[in-house]
Amino acid sequence: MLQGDATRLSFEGGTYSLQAASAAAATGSSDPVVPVAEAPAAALPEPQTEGRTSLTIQEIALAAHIAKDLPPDTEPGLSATYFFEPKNFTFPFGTHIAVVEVDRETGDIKFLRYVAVDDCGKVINPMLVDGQIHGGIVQSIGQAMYEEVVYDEQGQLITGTLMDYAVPRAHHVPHFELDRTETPSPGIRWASRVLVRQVRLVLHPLLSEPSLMRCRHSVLSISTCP
Amino acid sequence: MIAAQFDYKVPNSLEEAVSLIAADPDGSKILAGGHSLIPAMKLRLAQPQVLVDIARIKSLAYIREQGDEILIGATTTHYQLESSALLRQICPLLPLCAASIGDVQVRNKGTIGGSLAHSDPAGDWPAAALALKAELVLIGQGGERVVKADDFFVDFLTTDLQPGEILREIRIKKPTGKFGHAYEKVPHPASGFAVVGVAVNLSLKADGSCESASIGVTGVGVKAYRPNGAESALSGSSLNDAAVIEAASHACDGVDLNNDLFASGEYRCHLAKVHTRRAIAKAKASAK
Repeated sequence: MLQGDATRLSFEGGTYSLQAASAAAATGSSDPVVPVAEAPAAALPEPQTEGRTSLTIQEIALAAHIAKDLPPDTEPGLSATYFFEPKNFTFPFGTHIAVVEVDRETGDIKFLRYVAVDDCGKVINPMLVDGQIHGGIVQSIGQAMYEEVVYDEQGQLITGTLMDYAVPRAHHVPHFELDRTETPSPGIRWASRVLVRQVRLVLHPLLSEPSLMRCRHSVLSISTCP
Repeated sequence: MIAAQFDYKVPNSLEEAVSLIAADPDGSKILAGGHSLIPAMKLRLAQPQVLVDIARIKSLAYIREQGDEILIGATTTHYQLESSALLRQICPLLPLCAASIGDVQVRNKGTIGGSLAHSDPAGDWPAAALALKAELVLIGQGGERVVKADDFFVDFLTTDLQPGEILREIRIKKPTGKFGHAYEKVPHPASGFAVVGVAVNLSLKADGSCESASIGVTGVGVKAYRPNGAESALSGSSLNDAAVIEAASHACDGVDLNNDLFASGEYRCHLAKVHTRRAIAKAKASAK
């Protein structure tokens, strides 16, 4: 499976939360090629060596490309482009719980625990799945607590450097306690689900206004803090 | 983000450095760790003609006891101060302050002298220097002079250093008797600079009441300062909760408050009061 390489793929949307993995899982990579390979079978040469009953892929490819004895209406070559449309879209799901301590005097938020259980169907590569979840949590913490693009009245960007625009670093984020369930996705052959960075959608309301962040900005009238 | 053109000189001794900047006192700048000056040059807020790099003068980096004083060379790095077993024992405020600065890379490169000479309104060392009533030794072609920290920080990014002078040494009276130190800081989440930093140096009587207190506050105004109202409220007090709260309420009296995107002046002042109270309580708890 190839993804994220515009020099080799005519159409590609980036890894986009492992969508390509899910698509590959859904189709099975050999499926689209098989009908093409069968088509010129009549034109294939006999194995040259006595007792051999099979051809190498190189021999088949050569015969398909030279196209000397292809049957009528058969396209030369041995490639196929296949567009896949699933029977239905798939969605991951999960629950994230952030246990935080709010300093009522300063509005500071401190994570005590962060527990997340997500389900993206059949897991193909656990490391990539965990990586998607780590990334989603950290982006969410950034969005909810630190990151903001701010322009002044003249339209000048005033959070233009990493000295002003806070991207969360390691010491800003808690230890993640992760677990998963694997609910097979109906209609997808390998039962995987696209693990969209839906984590962000989960976490953002947890930490952002109008809940915890209000504390920080209204610490001077702390009664509004939930 | 590209600095203007400059000459770069690397003297081998302090004497050579002094004569190099004497050649062009107004156009020269001293470079040590470069963690204040280089960013300013990249933004072209500073455009020195000549950089005189003193970081390689080995004899300028030291921490030693001499009589009743602690002597610190100007190019001593934050990390050297943070990790000094001697300082942890005799003057813990210095390692506490050092440990709060930036990250490991910054602490390995940045120097105490550079930070003090820059007088960034959000720098950490000015607060500690004020709380410890440090004296700063400045050297120029005319000789040396010693300036009290109270007189050294003049204004926004401005110190008493005159053109042609180099900050050579920081001198601190060794705390004696029963004393307690604390440094409380709210770092800016992006830059790590102090939104508010409070350094407290408490001297206690045998009964646990306060003999004297000196406090340095950074991040709140155009320069670091000592909140005199807070210090005098503590002096002679019992250091009970009411006394500490009363003292902390004076943390930003009369200060022209900084106001930026991250924290309004009102919020900064509020944070200064909260963290002054907490720093006093920590210093009291650590006293021995």
